[in-house]
Amino acid sequence: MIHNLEKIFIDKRSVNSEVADRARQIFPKNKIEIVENEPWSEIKRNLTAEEFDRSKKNIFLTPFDGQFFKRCPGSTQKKVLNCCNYHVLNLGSQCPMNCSYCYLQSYLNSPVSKIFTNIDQALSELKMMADTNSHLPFRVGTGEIIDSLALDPLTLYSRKLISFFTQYPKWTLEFKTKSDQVDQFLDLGPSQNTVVSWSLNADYVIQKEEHGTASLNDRLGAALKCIQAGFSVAFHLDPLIYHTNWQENYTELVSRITTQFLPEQVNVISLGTLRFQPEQRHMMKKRFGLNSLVTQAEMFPSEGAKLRYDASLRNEMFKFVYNLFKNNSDRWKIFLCMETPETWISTFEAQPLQKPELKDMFRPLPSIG
Amino acid sequence: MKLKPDFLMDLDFKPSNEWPASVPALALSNQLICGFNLSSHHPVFEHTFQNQDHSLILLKSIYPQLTLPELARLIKSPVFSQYFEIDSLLKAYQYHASPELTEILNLLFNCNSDFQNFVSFKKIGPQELVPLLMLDEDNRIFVTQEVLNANESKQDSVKRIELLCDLIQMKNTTECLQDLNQNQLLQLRHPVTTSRDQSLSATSLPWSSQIKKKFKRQGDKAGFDIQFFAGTPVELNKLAQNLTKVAQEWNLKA
Repeated sequence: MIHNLEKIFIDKRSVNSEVADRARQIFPKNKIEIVENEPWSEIKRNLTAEEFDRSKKNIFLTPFDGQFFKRCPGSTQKKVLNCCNYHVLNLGSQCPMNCSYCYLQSYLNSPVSKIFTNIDQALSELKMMADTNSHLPFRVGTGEIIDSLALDPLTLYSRKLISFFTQYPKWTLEFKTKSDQVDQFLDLGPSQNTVVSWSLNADYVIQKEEHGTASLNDRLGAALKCIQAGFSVAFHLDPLIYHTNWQENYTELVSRITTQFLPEQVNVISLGTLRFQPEQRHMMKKRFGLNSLVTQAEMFPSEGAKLRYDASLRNEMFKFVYNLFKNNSDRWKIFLCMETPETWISTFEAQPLQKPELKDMFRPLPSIG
Repeated sequence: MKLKPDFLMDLDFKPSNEWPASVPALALSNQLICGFNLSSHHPVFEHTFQNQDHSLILLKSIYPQLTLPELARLIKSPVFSQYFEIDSLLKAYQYHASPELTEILNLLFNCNSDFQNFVSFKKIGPQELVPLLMLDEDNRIFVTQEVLNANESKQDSVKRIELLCDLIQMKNTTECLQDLNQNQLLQLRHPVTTSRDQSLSATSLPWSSQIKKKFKRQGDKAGFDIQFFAGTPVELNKLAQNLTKVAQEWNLKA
């Protein structure tokens, strides 16, 4: 995936960073440029579709001046959504892959992908939090505004993070990816508190909507490699996307998972249905036209100001996929991502704290970061 | 003070509101900037052009607000750039300059005056016109004409624009879309939800005759708006029992 990058801009301040060294080893000289300022920094407004496309192919290696560690956006809507205590560590922004539904289309304003080169500073920040809360089960993910692993062969940040988290066994590090890039850290296993997670979808949806991502086969293959090396894995069947043969296609997906993995090998499975901010729809239509399951979707204003499918359809989809797992084995641990208490009750007939296998994940934790 | 014929009208952007006949018009050097509608005997007060910032202050004091079509016509006037700078003008009228806004202004300028006036009158914003950018000219003309013919509220007009643009891009022919009402358009755009809604609203449930119920869609939820009157605790209890029965049946049929 890193070979799809057209240009690597290195901030003058990051010239001596490890990532810049790696970039010089990996990419030909004509792809690298040292710059004093962020490329296209004159653009101080929402990106056009063309600028957004370009931002995926150009990367800027630069130090980050802000706060690396924060709570998942879902936690800010606790009144309307059930929150699973996820925290995020942002080590870059933008993603080289191109999913039609990606929320970054309404979230990012930067005309270039970024890798933050001052990871040591990020780890110091994290250490301050972890040292004072080492006894609490915090979960930290790196895949909020960048895929955790797609660019990892360039950064090798996975290696630093895995090593760091060994000092805090109660804390969990979660990588989230649609790539199959895992070889670069497998030798660090086994690791009890590193969860490598994949966002999975039906093959048909991957081909139609998740452009430039690893195939389902390759993602599952990479997950098996991680298990063999002693890492935990998790799967996010998110977003479930309604289409004519959705039941058949999601049955096939669940069957692929349940035949290749045991419930004990999969830390958790999250389910979510398609959702996005209303203002994102124009950008998606411009970039992907109306021949997409996402832009054609029947969406309605819902909780948290997002557009979602009709609530009864969501329930039907959740129940259907949930039952596929539970009919295979009661031991699969399943939760809903960014969903309302009403949807939890109609799908599971329970709130997360009433489900023993999810209690730990949803138990309120003190606010840090 | 000079008279109107002494000035050029290259900046005439056809402002929606006419300049009052009792007030002298104003000009920037030899170009009139208001009072385009007035008779040739009308007096004009002349401001000497100093710079673009000054021109903008003057324009803003004459026209505290300008609609998108007015801005589009002003920007497209042949001498605009001699007197104004486009980004500052947009900013002064609370718009963010962007390639998309430029496209929308171009689009509006090329629309017929009826649609321009409609957008001005309804105060439709740039984001609400974005769907039109995805259509070719013929389809765009069709959509704008449909919106004019429907002559609905701002909210419904904006909804109609988006529905029609989506449906055209989803390969519906304009013949099929002509003269449809909002419900018909929604049925075409949301066939799955419509059919689910129809099936729910047609579900036979044992409602008491004392309960008024109306099927309703509210955002991502569909259900029943219910209304009843209870004059005594006994009546209320009866209605509550009926509602429990309805809920049980609904659950069985869901």
